[in-house]
Amino acid sequence: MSLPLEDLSVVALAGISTLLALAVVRHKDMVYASASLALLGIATALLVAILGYPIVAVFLVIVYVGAAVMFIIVSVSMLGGGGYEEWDDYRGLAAGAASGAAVLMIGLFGGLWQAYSPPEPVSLQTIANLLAGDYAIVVIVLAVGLAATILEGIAIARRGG
Amino acid sequence: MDGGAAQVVIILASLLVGLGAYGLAGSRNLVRQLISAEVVFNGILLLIIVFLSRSPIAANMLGILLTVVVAGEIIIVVAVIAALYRRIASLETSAIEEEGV
Repeated sequence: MSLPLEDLSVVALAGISTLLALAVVRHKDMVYASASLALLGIATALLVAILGYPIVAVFLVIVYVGAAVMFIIVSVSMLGGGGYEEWDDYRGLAAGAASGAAVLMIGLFGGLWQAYSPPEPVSLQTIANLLAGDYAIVVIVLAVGLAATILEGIAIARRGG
Repeated sequence: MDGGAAQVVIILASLLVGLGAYGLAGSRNLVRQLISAEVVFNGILLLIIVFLSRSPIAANMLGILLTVVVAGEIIIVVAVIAALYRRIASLETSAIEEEGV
């Protein structure tokens, strides 16, 4: 039995994403951990594109990885690497709880893969029309909220807490 | 892509949520907690994309809007982290508790 190239890509990307997530959570250097998050974002975007949502994937790479995660990396570098990291004494408990959460999620959602069907392609024009039409209020609220967020972020950082 | 690959994506999403929760609960460093929360976001986004495959417009909209909201969240949290670091020169939650910020 041979797997199609797309399925092989998904399995390979899943493996790479898991390793990158481990690096994000466990790497001692915060700059490298943040860089792993950027690579994880790119791997997620590739998976999203393979699942049939190329526009969301491009958006993820540009806005999430290109702006937000890069902002984290630059900020952590400017803070001197985020300082020494102290792990909680009960990290074994945290690992057990997190494994339990993952197993529970697989149990809850694992059977729902049958609900998946390859989505109909949606054009950029359709999404642009929806954002300017049906979702206009959402876009306006989000734009105002983001503008306020940026101003608030600058004010907090300048005040020093 | 068939259902088998969707199953792999669901398992990966669950693993990402679990790993992110581990980083959130097990570390005392604010930067680690922020990037662990982002790992959880990646997992949740994959789950949403798979489950909304029957309504692709909703999946596209939710994917785009969720990404924008998370970018805003990162801006605020990084600003708070920078402000705290300037004030107490540490990013450990225990140091923040000691300083009573």
